Amino acid sequence: MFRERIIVDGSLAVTATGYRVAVRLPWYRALPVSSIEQLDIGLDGVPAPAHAITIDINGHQRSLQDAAEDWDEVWYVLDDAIVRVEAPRTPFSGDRHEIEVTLGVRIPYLPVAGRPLIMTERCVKTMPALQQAPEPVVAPASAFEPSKETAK
Amino acid sequence: MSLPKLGVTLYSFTPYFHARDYGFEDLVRIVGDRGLGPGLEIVGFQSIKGFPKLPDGFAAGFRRLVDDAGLELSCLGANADAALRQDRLLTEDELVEYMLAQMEAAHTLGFPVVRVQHSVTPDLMERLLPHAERLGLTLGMEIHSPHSVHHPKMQALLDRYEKLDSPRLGFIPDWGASLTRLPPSLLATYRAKGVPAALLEAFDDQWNAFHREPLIRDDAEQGARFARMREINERHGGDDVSVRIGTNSVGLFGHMDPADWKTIMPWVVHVHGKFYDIDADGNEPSVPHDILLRDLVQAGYHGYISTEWEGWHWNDTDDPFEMVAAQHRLSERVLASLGAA
Repeated sequence: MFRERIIVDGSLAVTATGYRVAVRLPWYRALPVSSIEQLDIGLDGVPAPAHAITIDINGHQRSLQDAAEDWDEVWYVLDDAIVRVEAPRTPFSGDRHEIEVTLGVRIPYLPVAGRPLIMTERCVKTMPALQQAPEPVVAPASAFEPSKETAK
Repeated sequence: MSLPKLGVTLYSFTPYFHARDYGFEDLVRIVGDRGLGPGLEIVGFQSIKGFPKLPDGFAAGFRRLVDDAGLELSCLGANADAALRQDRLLTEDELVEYMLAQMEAAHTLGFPVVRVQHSVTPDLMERLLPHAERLGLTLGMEIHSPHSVHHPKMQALLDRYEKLDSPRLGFIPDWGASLTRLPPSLLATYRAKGVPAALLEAFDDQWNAFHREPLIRDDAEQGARFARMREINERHGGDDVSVRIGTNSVGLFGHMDPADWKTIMPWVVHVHGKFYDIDADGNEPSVPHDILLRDLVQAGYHGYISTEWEGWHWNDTDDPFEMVAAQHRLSERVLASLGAA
């Protein structure tokens, strides 16, 4: 679902020590952070080792291992996550880069024979790298504007 | 004669919502403006950030919005996330607590019905019943493909409902469980995207072959059907994208006889009017509205039917608002003919 939306256009930043990119949840509703069962990322054909990857959801940067145990926190369906990769020994040159992300998320209400369904989606995009990445887009906390009556 | 009431679930507009084209409040207003109600259903974990926690004042603001839009709350889609954790399934106590938080939110928001899912067993349903009574809620177990009214899980619930005999427990039929054929736009869309015609025909033939077999009764049979679709994909040189057409057909497009919803009709508390296509004559080619609506009317059902357009899984050209409006025109036409009969 929405696999072409996983990598956010124009969100790639590449520095001397690595890169970061904004990632969307390819699903229709919020899921617990621990539903991230698989997160593979690569730049210009160089896959990142799992230990070099972190994911930032709700302003909290965590390793993939920590994400697996974080079932108490929720990745809201409208929020960008920021995936960072440390790659200090891999110089990425050029203005445009090919970025590839494979995201496997567990669908927590669809257990089949006691095993949850995992939806795996792959997205590849080529885009220019920015020096400084834009801030992630996140939905505001749920709230309603005061109605005209109460505002008077 | 009192007829079922129409409505919509905001899930129908997921492509716009996910793309941030329209927010939650926008969608509620548009549903009101375009006359796609009166019933309004939402999925809590989709529409409300932080759900099931509700910030102070949120519920009052939401109800004002719904009133201003001229809508009526029909059902809150709760999720039975038994696989919340990666290491194990939730215990029964944990799942009860998880469902209860969502029921409290439904009550605060003003929804009369809460949709629950199949990880909630008859025992858990019985444990939730006193809370439903306290909160003034009705709990509806969704019967969604690949399940059917005949599935042992649903039969076990039916037995328990008959024993408990409470109007606060029931079922929510999802029309996707009782298709007559694969949605034509599914095959047409993937054909246009370059999936080989032979592979699509093989998926279609296999779905039709499943349709002639007995309904699945357990997860092992479902797993075997997934495996069969993967084999077909491989044999025809399909890839990791095309395989989804086959496996999703097992998960989403059910084989139950549409007339069999009659067997649970006294327990229907809400309906998911799932659909995919509207043809040139204004009909749904794979969801037989004449049968589905006839049986609801004959049973005296006068609750809501939430129109649920799921064609967006593959169809990214039709406008979801227009699709829902077209399904409402079809429903109104069929209901008018039934009302006149």
